[in-house]
Amino acid sequence: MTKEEIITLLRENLLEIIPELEGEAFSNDESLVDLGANSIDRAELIMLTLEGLNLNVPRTEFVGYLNINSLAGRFLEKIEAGA
Amino acid sequence: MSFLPPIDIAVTGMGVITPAGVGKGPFGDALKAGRSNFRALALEQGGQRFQYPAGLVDGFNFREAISRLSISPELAAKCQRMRNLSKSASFGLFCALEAWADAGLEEASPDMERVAIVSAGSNTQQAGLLAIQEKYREKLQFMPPTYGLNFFDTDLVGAISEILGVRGEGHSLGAASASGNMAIIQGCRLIQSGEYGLVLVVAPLMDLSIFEYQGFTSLGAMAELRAGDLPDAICRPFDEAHRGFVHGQSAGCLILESAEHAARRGQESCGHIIGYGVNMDANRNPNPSAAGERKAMAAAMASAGLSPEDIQYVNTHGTASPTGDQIEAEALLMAGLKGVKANSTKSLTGHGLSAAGLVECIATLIQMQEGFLHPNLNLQHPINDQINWIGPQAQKAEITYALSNSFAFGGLNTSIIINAIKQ
Repeated sequence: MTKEEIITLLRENLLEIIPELEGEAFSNDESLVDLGANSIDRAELIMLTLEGLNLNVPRTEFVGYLNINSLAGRFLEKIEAGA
Repeated sequence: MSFLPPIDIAVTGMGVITPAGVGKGPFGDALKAGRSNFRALALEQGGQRFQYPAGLVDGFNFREAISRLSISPELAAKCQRMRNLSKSASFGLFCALEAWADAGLEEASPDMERVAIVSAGSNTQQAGLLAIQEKYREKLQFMPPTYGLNFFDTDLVGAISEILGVRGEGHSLGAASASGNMAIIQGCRLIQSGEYGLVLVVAPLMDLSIFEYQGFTSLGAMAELRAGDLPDAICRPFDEAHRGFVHGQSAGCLILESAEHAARRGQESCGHIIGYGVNMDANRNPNPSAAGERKAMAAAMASAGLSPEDIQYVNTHGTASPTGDQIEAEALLMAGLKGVKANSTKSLTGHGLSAAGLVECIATLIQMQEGFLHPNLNLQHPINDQINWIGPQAQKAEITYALSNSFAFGGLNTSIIINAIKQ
C-alpha cells in the first residue's frame, strides 16, 4: 500500500461523506474543516478508511491530522507498524 | 364530567405517507377510492425465509420526493444534503416538510423560539439499525460513528430542527400504538400551556425488522399469511373473519397552532382539535378494556363540551384484532355512540403502529374537508350491527364533529375530538 493509494481511498470516502465536493478541485493539504467536514464527518472518514484498509487501530490515533495528506501519512505509519 | 380545560387547537398543515398514497392529495384520492396496497413481504433470517402480510409504500425515494414539494430551493438543498437518515426518519422528515409547506410556514417566518417538535413513537428504526448491526457484527471495530448518534428516536427531531431552524423544545414520545394520538395530545398541551404558539407533531415510519414481525406473529397479534391468501383480503377490521392486524408502512405530520397564532398570520385551518381523553387500564398486557376505552371517549367528548349525539363519525382504532375489535365495538356502545358512522382507516393502510393515530387524524380531517367517509375494506359480515359501518363504497357525509381512537398494549387508551369548523 502506497501513500498515493491511501490518498485515493481517503478522497473517495470524503466524496461519499460530502457529495457536494464531487467535481470540485481541492488539494490534499486543504483542511477538512474548510472542505465542509464537521467532527462527525471527520470521524466517519477515518472509520470508513480504517474499514477499507482492514486496519484495526483506535480512531483516537488519528486525532490532530487535519488534512488528507497528513491523514494518509498517519495511515501509512500504522500500516508499516504492522497494526 | 371532565377534569380537562376546553381546548381549541388549529391544524394548519398536513403531510402524510401511507401504502395507499404518498402526500396529502394522493392519500385523499386513495381514501375516496378505497385503495390499499397489501402484499406478501418476504424476509430472511438464519437461512430461513419468512413471509408476512404488509401494506408497503412502493419506491419512496426521499431526495426525489422532496424535489416534488412546494418548498424553496434553499430548503430543498438543505434536505438534499442531509445524510445518514434512516428510512424511518426520512419518511418523517418528508411529512414534516410537506406539512410545513402546506401550512404556508416558509413564507410566514414564525418566531422559531416558540415552535416545538413532538415526534410520535419509540424504537421506530428497528429494520435500519438491524441492517447496520448485521453488517458490523463480525467487524465491530469499524462501527460507523454515526450509529452512536442516529440510533436515538430523536435523530428525526434534530434533523427537522436543523432544516427548519426550530429553536423551541423537541422530544419523542412513546405510547406504542397510541403514540400518534398521544403526540397530538402532547402538542395540544404545549400550546394550551401558552409556552408555544406552534407545534410540529410528526410520526416517523415504524420500520419493523424481521424480529418485530415475528414477535407480533408469535404474540398472535399480527395476521399470519396462509396458503392461498389474497394479501388485500387479510386485513378485515370488524369483520367476523378478522384474524389480527396487518402492518402498514405509514408516517405523518400535523402542524398545530393556537387559534390566535394562526389568525395572526392569516392562516386558515383545516380543522381543530377540541378535546381529548387519555387513561391507562393498570394492565401491562396487550388485552384491551372496554371500560378504559369508554372512559377515554367519554372524557374526550366531555372536554370538548359535546354529548355522544353530537359525534357524527368515529375513526376507530379498528386493527382487525378479534379481541380488540370486539372490545372497541362494546366500548363505542357503552360510550353512547350506538348508530354512529364509523370506519377503520387501517382497512386501507394497514396498522401504522406508532404512526397510526396521526395518520388517522389526517384521514379524518381529509374526509371532513372533502365531505365523504371512506370505505371499510373487507367488512362483509360485521361483528356488531349497532354501529353504522361504512360499506365497500365511500359515502358522502358532512361531518362537523368526529372522534378518533387509538389504543395500545399496556392498557393505554386515547381519544381525540376533531372539529371541522373553526370555533
